[in-house]
Order: sequence, then structure tokens, then C-alpha cells
Amino acid sequence: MRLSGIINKIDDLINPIVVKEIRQSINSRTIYAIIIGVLLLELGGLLIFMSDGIRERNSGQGYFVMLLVILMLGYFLGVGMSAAGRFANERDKSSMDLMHATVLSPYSIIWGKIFSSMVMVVFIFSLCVPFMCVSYFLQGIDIVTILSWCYISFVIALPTVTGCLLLGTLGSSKGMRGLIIFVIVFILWTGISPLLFHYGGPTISGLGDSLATLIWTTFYCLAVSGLFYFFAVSIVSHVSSNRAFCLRYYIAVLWLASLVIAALYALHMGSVDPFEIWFVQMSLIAVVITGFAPAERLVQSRRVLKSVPDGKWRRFVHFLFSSGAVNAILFGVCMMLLNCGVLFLATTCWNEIYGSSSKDTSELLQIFSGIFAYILFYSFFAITLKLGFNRFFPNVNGMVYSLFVVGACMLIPVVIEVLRSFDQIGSHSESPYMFILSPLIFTNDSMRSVGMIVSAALAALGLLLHFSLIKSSLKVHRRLMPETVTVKEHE
Amino acid sequence: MKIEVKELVRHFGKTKAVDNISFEFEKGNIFGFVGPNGAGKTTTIKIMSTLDMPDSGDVLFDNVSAVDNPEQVRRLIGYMPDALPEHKDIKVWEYLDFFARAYGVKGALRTKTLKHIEEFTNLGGIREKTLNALSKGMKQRVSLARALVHDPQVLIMDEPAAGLDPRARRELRDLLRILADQGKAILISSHILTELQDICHGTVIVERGKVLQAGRIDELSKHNERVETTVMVRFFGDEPQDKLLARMIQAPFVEDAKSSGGSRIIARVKGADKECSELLSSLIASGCRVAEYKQQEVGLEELFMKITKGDVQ
Repeated sequence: MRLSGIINKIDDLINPIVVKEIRQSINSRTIYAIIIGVLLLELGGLLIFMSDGIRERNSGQGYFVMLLVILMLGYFLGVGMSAAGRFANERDKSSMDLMHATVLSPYSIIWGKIFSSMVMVVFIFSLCVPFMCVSYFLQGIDIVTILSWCYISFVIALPTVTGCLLLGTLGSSKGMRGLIIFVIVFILWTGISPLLFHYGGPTISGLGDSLATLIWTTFYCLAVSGLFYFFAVSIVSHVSSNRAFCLRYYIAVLWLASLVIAALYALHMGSVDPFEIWFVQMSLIAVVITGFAPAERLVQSRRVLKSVPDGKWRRFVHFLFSSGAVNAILFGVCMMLLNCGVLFLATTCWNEIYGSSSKDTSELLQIFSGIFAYILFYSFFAITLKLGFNRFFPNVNGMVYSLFVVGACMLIPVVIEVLRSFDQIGSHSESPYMFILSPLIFTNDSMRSVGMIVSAALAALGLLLHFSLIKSSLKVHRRLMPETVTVKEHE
Repeated sequence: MKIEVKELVRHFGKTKAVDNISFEFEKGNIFGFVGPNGAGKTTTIKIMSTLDMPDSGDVLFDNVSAVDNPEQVRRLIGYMPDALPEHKDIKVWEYLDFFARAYGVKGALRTKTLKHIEEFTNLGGIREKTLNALSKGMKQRVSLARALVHDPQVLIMDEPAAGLDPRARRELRDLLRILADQGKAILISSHILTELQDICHGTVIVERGKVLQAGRIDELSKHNERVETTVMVRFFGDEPQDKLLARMIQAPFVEDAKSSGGSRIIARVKGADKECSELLSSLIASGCRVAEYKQQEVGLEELFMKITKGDVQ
């Protein structure tokens, strides 16, 4: 075969989106501006650190940190946000419709976007590498540290870029993006704040040696990137398809894989800590799934119903892995129950074998089941709003109701707390209003118990209010034969 | 290739945007899809292009369902939306090459196809220009070229002539005629009814999400018998125009008449063919020397105005 033939074959194998995006980047002035900006910053920094007044024995360390900051800015602003902006514009204009009208799958669209962004990341990275070598000669930093940080910064670029693209899939509406960021902050805050309160930060103690950190960072970044990737795929998938399937399938695989890793690590460390870390991460995922459930359709599509298998249990599993608000909520509930069950079993077995007990485990179980119960209630509340207002605002996405409820539930206690703090400057008493936000920010045991009861009652109320919706969704989930296609959706 | 739109229904909240729409058309035909704003045209077109889902009903392309097998249907159709390509950092050839790749056109075939399409749509001279630097007419041609990169059997076009100057419209019309002659089935939604009338073999008229009438234009004309016809009469000789006009007004069935320059008079006749022929007979019998007598054909615009009520949802 001639060389041109081989090149043509390789050319055909490349994802069309990658070809298009790289061509667009080459034609774009923004990319040239970023390259020049990065080079100028690097050169400027080098001149400063090499100047007589500043240069010391360890100036290489300072310069290297500066290069890392430039690199991260380049990844986030230069590559991530510009790719997300372009994607958001495509989503808003009809370009995305045109892409959907082709035979490209949502997987290849998102994968193409990520891959082309990573090509740009490599390009920006290559701009920094020569300067990183210079930092070694400036002294204060060794080769292993440079290489380790280069690797970590490169690995971090993947979830950064994928996360930016996920935001891009939501369109360019600034309000929508603002709300999304707001909710992410809320979820992180409700999830992480108790950890900080109760553990004082070093939750991953024992993972401190550098190789373990590198492995852990790699696994974490890949897992998060996968989550963002499948989230983005499900958003851009066709409305009639089982959009949520890929995301739920990925979460199930991640759940199992991370559990195995946590178990192996627990045995290696001789501590139950990895199970606790695993529980926290998986519970946060369950919280996010449940929180965003109202964004999904209330009635399942004909295409989904046609693929329902026979058999009671198989049908139920299919239900959990199908698109739909109720499906997502039940998936979240099942996941949370499994999370609690696994942590409980793991710690009980651990205690039996090693004879040690962990007070933190029961606290963690309380805290995260509390958060989950709150989110479950918010979700049902958002569904109530969606059902009530859909006829008046048919074009409003269900996610808006979710964001509104979560946003309001976050804002109210924060505003009250801020107002309260003006009256009681210097006082450190815990505000009862913060119950609405999360039952777990309390260090006081009795206050937390009250919070737990409130959250459980709210979750039960939500379940009770929408019991008929859950029941009818389960009932409708039966195999639809082609000749009986008469489902009407009034979403 | 036979395209059957079967009982499509689509709701947006309480609004029934598409209400049981059914029609069909075949290869080699250009079909017009007309209706006032908010009639459900774009929603129907999006469902046909697999970009939206009906609440019930289906669209079959040679018995392949757009609802159940959208991926298969996408290979058969070329979709041209009303929005024009606006990317500022992509050249014409790069844009077409991307869509050819996206439709799975590979290697040498892609190069050959793109060359042929560039020649067909006359884009050779602008292939190195970026999309945002093009005029509306040029963008429309790029959009048509994009819809043709995978040689679809069906073309679905949403308002293709909107905003185009007369020359660009004429060029588009000529291209569509060639494509229909090549055996492609073409569905065009448009507001410019005179454009459709010249090229369409048939039409579907919709209003408030419902099909009011569908079929070939001549069949629709038969179904909607005229109550009024416009005729043009050119007289021979040098009789003064006001005298001719007076004669015309006095003639049977004439409701109104006006001079159209020279010895030409345009008259509004109450009735259809029978009344028009009787008018001609009476003019000749009264001694008028008629050099030319022309009855205006039933236009799509006339049909549209007659069939629709102008209601919007």
C-alpha cells in the first residue's frame, strides 16, 4: 500500500470532531493570543526570578510554582473555557441540530471535543516544559518533584477540560451556568463542610507517600472525568433515547471498581479509612443524581419502553437504568442504601476481625443519610413545582426547578445566618436555621439528632406526596410492543 | 423512496403544536409545506429530521421509522434548517469536509463527492473563505451543499429562500429542479408561495397544527372551485381606452375592470371557466376585436388565502 493510502486510512479513523476542532483552533485568533500570553508570562517570570535582587538558592521552586499556575490558567481559561464557549454557542445556534442530524453518536461528539481540547493541553504543556527545565537549573527543586507535578498537572487537565465541556453542553445562558455553579458549590459545601468539621481536613491520611498520591490522583481524575463525560453525553443525547443509561451504567461500574480498590487499600493499610472515603465519594454521587432527577422527563419515551426486558427483576433493573425523574430518584435511593449497607458491613466485619471500633463511621452514616434525605425532599419538591407549572411554562427545563429549589434552600439559611451574625457579633452559637441547609454542620450531637429527624421526616413526606407517581411510573414500565404505540406525553 | 407522515401529534405544554398531521410524497417530487407562522411546520420538519420526538404518530421513509430507527433515517435525509451557518473560524471547504466525515463518507470518495458538490453548488471560488465572510445567498448554497454531502435520497428544507435576493432564489430554484430530476424527494417549507408554485409538484397546507389540504396543486385547484377569476383582455384597433373600459364594465359577469396600459384591460369576473368563456363570447358578439384573452391561473397564494383563515396558536 502506498504511503498516501496509509495516511488516508489513518485520516478516516480520526474522529471528525477532532479534525474540525483543531482546524477551528488553527484559524482562531484566541488560540494565538493564549500562546503569546503564556510565553510572555513565562518569560516575564523567568526574568523576575533571575534578576539579582530576587535570585536566591531556592528561586527555582518559586518559579516552578508560578509555571504551574500559568499552566492551570492555560488549561482552564485557555483551553477549557474556550472549548466550552464554542460548544455552548453551537448548542444555542442550530449547529448542534445539524450535528445530531448526522450519524455521529453523542459519545463521539463529546469524546471528539475532549480529545481536541487535550491536544491543545499538550500544546500548552509543551510551551511550559522548557521553562520547567530552567526552574531545575535555578535550584531549589529536584527532577522527581518536577516530573511528579508535571504529571499531576497534566492529569488534572482532563477533569478540568471535561468539566468545562459539561458546562458548555448546557448552552450559553449565563443564568443557567451561574445556577449550576451555585448548586455544585452547595453540594460540595454540604458534603465537604461536615468532613472539615469532624475530621479537620486530613481525611486521606495514610495516602501521603508520593507514589500512592500519584496513583490516587490519577484514579480520582479519571473517575471524575468519566463522570463528567457521561453526564455530558447524556445531556446531548437524543430525547427519545435512554439518555441516562450511559451515566448510570458508568456510576455502577465506578461504584464496584472503587469499592474493590478501597477494600484492597484498606487491607494494605490495615485501616477502615479507605471504606469511609469511598462512602463519602459515592454518597456525593448519589446526592447529585437525586438532586438533578427532576431535570429528567416524567414520562418514559416509546423507544425506552420498547427495550424493556421480560421478568420482574430484570424489568426493575432496567427501570433503574432508564431515563426518567422517578427512575433517577430510585437509582439514587438504591445507591445510597447500598453505600450505607457496605460501610456498615465493612466496619462491622473489621471490628470482628481486628477488634477495633470506629466512631467516625457511625457519624458518617448519620451525616450522609441526613444529606441524602434532604436532597430527596428537595427533589420531590422540585417535581411538585414541575408538575404544577409545566402547563404555564412548558419550555422550562426540569433542571431549572431543581436549581431553584436547591438554590432557595441554600440561600434562605445563609441569608438568615448572615443577618443573625450582625446581631450576635462574637457569638459562636450554632444557628437552628442552618437545618434547612444541611443537618450535618452541627458539632453538637443533640442538634444533629434533631436535624436527622427533620430530614427523615421531610424525605418521608416527599415519598408520600409522590407515591402515586412512583407507582404509576413502575406500572408503565412494561415492554411496549410496536403495534401498540399510542403513548402520549404531555410534558 | 416513499415518505409517509402518519398522524403526527406533538404537544408543548397545553399547546398542541402538531395535531394529527398526515401526508405523503415520493421521489422525484418537490413538495411544498405551507402555513402561517405557528402552524407547526418547523416542529413537523424537526420530527421528520429525527431532531424531535412526536407524542404519537410516526414518519416512515420507505417503511423505516424515524421514531424507532433515527440513526438509519439520518443516512437517508439531508436536513437544511432555516438558520444559516455562522462559524467565524472555519472555511467553506473545512465545513463541508467535516459534515462529509460526520456522515461517514471516507477517503477518495469524500474528496470526489466534495469536489462534485462544490461544482454543483458553484462554491469553488469561495472555498477558502470563512463562513462568516459570506453573503446570505452564499451561505444558503453552503447549507445546501452540506445537506447533500452524503447524497441523501430525501431533502428536507425549512424556509430555504428566506432573505435571499431574486437572483439567489432563482439559482436555488434551478438547483432544486435538478435535484428532483435526479430522483430526490424534496420537502420545502416556505412563506414565499410564488417561489413554491413554480417548482412544487404538490403541497400541504397547514394551520393551527392541522393539515387543511394536501395534494398536487392542480388537484387542490379543482377542489377549491373559484368564485372569482381575473382575466386580461387586449383589444385590437385604436378605440379609446375609456370606451373600452366602459364596454368591459357593462359586459356580463364583470365585477370590476381597470386599464393596464395601451389597449389592455384587467377585469375581475364573477365565476370560473364557464363565466369567462361566456364573457369572451359576449365581447366578440358585441363587436369587440379581441387580440388576446388570458385567464389568470389559480396560484398557490390564492389557494393558501382561500384555504387558511390566518389563525395562529
